[in-house]
Amino acid sequence: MAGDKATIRDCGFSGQILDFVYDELAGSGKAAFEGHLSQCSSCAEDVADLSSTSMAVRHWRAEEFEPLGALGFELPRSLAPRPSLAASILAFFRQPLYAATVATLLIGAAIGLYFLLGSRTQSQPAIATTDSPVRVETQAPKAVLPIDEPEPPVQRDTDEQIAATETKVPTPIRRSRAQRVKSRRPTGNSNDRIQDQTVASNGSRVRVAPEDLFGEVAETRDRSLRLTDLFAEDDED
Amino acid sequence: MLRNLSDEQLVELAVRDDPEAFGEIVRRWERKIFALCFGMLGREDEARDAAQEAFINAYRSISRFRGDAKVSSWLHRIAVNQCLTVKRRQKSRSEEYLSEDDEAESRVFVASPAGSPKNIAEKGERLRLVRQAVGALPQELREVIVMKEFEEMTFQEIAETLELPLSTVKSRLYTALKQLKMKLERLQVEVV
Repeated sequence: MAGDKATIRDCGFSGQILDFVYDELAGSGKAAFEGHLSQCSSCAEDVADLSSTSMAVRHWRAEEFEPLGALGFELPRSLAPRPSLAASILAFFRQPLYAATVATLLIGAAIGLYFLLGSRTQSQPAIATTDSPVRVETQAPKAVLPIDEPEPPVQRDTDEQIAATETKVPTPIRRSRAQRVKSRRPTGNSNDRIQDQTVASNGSRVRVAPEDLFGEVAETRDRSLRLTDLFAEDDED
Repeated sequence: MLRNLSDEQLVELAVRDDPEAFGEIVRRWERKIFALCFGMLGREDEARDAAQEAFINAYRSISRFRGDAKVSSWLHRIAVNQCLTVKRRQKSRSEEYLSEDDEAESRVFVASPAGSPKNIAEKGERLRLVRQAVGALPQELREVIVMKEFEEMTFQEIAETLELPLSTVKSRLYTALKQLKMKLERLQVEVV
């Protein structure tokens, strides 16, 4: 058996066995192989085995497959390509009549828009440079705090502090007109001139009404009236 | 007009949403793909379904066909993959069901009115065993023998379709036929 295999390998025709079985050898090659088969028993045996097996498969094909009808394949409608929106639009514009109509409409619309915008520009005042309305923002003045300094924490006064503050508030005292005029006249002291200015907790000066005016304010709640009264008193003097 | 175009040109048209072009591809290849599926699966109904499914898959993936391979290679690859999918599904079925199925097929052959009952029964049994032996071959060997015997392709066409060297194709076919002969002898099928 080993010798047979060696013969198959060494005969030089083993690569042509299948070509011969399936009739794919050219004329001269086929004749040469047929001549070899009469001399090489191994190749002849191989050809017989392969041919008989091939015949069995072909027989199966002839008996069971050949009588079958065509596949009759039809592409399912669900798989049939549907034209996209862009393709539909392009197909629409491929028709010259529709394309010309749409082009005319577009040109007409452009001309109309041009005249409409021109008339609107003429009717507007010369100052107006844009059609957009000017936005006027009315904002409440915001408190400006120093950038570097943190916002002072809100301190909630205790009941005792509130009571102490209330005691410091001068009680309106009804004084005579002469006393009031005397206190209004400058005494030459520089401190008196800025008596209506006190230093706030943050270091800035805050204008504060003189102390003797509180009584008047408390009574009248109207500063202008109080000043009128003062000028009237000066006139009397 | 479409009949004059090559497979590659038809694919190009089909990619541009031309179902008629794909229909022409189907008309050219349906018989071979059907034969391939029949040889791979051994049953008409399964082969028919697999071939149809293969064409549907081909149509779905036609936009991904780059043209590097031949259209025939591409279709064959899709069909072989579909057959393998069907085979995997078959494996998931129970062995009992398969044996009952085979017995039912044998009864169909026996009940056929043509010829003498004894001859018909013997022929049917022999065909069933050949089918069974081919189906038991490894996939790469079965693929080659089916392409050669059912589709009647040349060695060169098989090599181009499978993108294999010619020597590999011949070697596989030789091995396939030898293994098939051994299986048939084991099954006591009289090989003519």
